[in-house]
Amino acid sequence: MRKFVKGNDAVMIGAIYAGVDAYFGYPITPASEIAHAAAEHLPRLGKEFLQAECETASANMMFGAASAGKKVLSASSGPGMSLMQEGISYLAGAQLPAVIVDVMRAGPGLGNIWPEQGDYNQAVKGGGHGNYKNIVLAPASVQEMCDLTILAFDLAFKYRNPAIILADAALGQMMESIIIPEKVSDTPDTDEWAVKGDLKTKNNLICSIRMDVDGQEMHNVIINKKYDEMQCEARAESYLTKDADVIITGYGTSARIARSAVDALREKGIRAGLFRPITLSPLPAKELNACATGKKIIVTEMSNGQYRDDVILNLNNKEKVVLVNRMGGNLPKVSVLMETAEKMMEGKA
Amino acid sequence: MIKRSTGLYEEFSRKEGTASRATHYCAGCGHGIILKLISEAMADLDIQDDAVFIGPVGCATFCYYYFDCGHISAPHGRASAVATGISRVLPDKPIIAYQGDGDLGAIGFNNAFQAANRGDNFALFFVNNALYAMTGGQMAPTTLAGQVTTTTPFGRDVVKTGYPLKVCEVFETLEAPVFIERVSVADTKRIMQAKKAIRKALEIQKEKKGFAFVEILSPCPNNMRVDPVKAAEAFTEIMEKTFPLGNFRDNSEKDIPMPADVPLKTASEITGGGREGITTKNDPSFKEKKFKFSGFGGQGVLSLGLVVAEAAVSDGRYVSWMPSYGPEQRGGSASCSVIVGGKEIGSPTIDDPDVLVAMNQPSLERFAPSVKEGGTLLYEASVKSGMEFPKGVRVIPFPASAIASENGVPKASNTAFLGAMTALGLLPFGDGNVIDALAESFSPNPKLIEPNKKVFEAARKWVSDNKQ
Amino acid sequence: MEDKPYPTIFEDECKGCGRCIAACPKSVLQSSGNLNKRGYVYAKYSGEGCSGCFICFYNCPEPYAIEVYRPDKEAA
Repeated sequence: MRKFVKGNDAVMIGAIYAGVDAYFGYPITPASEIAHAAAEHLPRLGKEFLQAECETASANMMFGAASAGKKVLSASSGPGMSLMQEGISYLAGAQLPAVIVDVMRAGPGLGNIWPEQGDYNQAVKGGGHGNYKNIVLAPASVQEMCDLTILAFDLAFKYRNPAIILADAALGQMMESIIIPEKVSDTPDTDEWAVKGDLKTKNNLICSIRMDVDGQEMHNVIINKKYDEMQCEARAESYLTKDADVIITGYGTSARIARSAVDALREKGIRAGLFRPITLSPLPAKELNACATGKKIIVTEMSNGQYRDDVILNLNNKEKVVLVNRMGGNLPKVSVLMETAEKMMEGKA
Repeated sequence: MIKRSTGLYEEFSRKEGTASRATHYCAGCGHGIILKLISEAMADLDIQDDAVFIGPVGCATFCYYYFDCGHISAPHGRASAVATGISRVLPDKPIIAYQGDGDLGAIGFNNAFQAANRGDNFALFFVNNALYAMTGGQMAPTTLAGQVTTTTPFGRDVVKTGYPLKVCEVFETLEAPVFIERVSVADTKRIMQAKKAIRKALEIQKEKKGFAFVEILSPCPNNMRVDPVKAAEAFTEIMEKTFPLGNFRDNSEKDIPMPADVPLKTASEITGGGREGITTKNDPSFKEKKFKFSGFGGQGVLSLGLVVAEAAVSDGRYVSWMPSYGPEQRGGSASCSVIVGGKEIGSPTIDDPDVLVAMNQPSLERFAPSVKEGGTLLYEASVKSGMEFPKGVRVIPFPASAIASENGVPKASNTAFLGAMTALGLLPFGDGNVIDALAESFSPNPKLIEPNKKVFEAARKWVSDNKQ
Repeated sequence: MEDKPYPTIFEDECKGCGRCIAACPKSVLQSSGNLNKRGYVYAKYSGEGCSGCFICFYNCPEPYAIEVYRPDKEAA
């Protein structure tokens, strides 16, 4: 079944087929359509929708429902994500699964409602306190807004950790046709850790405090070993990179613009390729190096170079990296990417 | 018989240290008495196996050491929000939240207040000891005027820090709560009253009748720097002047309010309504085509783009539709970009459209210069603009609104442009796809389909009659 | 020997807060004057006069510090 839908609506379609049990969220442009869809669809499925009084509350409502092993979803944008950081750290500390969609907008502070990618560090490095990481997925199409929501639930439950879908206002507002999933995912067995108000789970404990220091250290070692194990979940798309001389890398909307630039450069005889990480945490470093080694590299993003920094950090041979970025709601221009690539090929950039 | 504590673990094995049958509370702490009253009521009501207890951050962080039931340790101030969350997904399980006066009265007040206002289905026990005990005796919202604490060393100055917060009285202003009572554990008579109120709150929870709230005045000898008996006496003589005991509300006999019924549907019913059997064909030979439709919001600019996009989808093309964003919105013009391709679409925004439709003057003047060489600029003929059009662009003034009004649907100038583009061969798919998409776009009110088809055909005819 | 009610004070769990002593209507509880192994001066029963009213139990903040035996009454 194929349907022409908006990015934000596709998230809810994915959540429905992931078997979401409850949505807790606070309205914020440009994420609000996700809440509208949740408000309309979840009650019809006998599931829960609750508009919270603030994002701090919605993060903790998710904490409560996730403690019972339920699939919980919330969606927000920069300012709301900042209010959720304490709750997200607690979700990681108590090893609870939850999916949070960040439809990024220009920041910092109030910023505006147009697309940006300035929350990269907050999501990928973890904006809350303590030695934790989020699972971070970066959709670049309306189909991926749907499919990565399903994947986010799978990974959140597999690793018992919060997962963030890092989208932006463009992806949220644009429409493309998607293939609707067929089957609703089945409910994972969570009796081993969840607290469900029954005899079987009565002795489980949802908690992130350990007064004894060795116990708390061991807990940190365990969750960080979990993050190492997550590396196998890294995913990326390499488009025309094999014979490429110039690699343009970006995620989400920036990757779409890079794709157009790669196509246009190829038409002009310049061998360009696109490396698009689909997971940002874990970052597909092996895949990045596989196609970037010894090549000219352009990073394009809608922020001050946060993803660029991780590219540099993860390049084994320390290739030169040029940043083509825009902020404030502007999108990088295909023409600028093309000029930069051409200059690099002539050794001028 | 032997009167002893019930509803607690026999051994407090989650607690570090040697005393596995003594609590971590200080000598004479009111929390300990409350602990026994709650656990006894849970045992008497036989709800231990089904109950989930949500503990705060403060002295009572370690409730999970003691109560023999399910446990969640919530962030500071968030126990009521956590309780809201789990009570929504476990609607028939007794949910108990426990918070101190900093946890609920300060950082978590809005969460508790909103949960009370929603009548969220859990019992909330609020322990008021008029200071922050765990963190070293700081002022709490319930600290009394003039009371010395580590952060009010000169005594609480209400002019600078406000007045003791009366949570029961505040919650009393809300519709939803079923039960609100303030009690104390300062002496025997008061403990017996607290025992009744706590049991009542848990009865309400066992029958899931709604939000029950019990505020419990609880002496903290350690931070009051007096022995436990004097601390208890002070609570009765001084605290109760500001925090009078008593029941504020007991609607437990009333019927449980039920939410409105919502007819259930399946996932596929909800996400249905798409097209079966349409596959998007990979066709590298198909040259990507970029359309920009612009005008002011009320002219149906966005829906014009949607119809073109749906037609492309039905023709098995890759397509993206994107509303105007940021810079494109300056000057009050609305626009949308539609890109039709033979493979995955890259950038969803368009800097150089192949086809531009401009339905008013601001959008014409804003976007005309960006039309690609060899592209087509179609604009509302009635628009007067002295601008100079870009070279190598086919410019067609088209009387869309005139044609729409002449055919009885004045607001259908966007449909007229659709007809014009079809006739001019600008749409890279069959006329049938366009007409079906047009009809489909009016499926919510089918009576508009025929009139719009009339405008569509009139526009097509105008173009063929006036072929340049 | 007559089957009379009496409180049992578990020395190690008592923290010597004095709430039971102050609350007992028969004033038959008192400080033992001795330290338990954790350093608290625990309370003790004088040995007679307990009416089995459970007041000490409800005033005691330590769940396992006091039990009260009462012969006649079924479960309260």
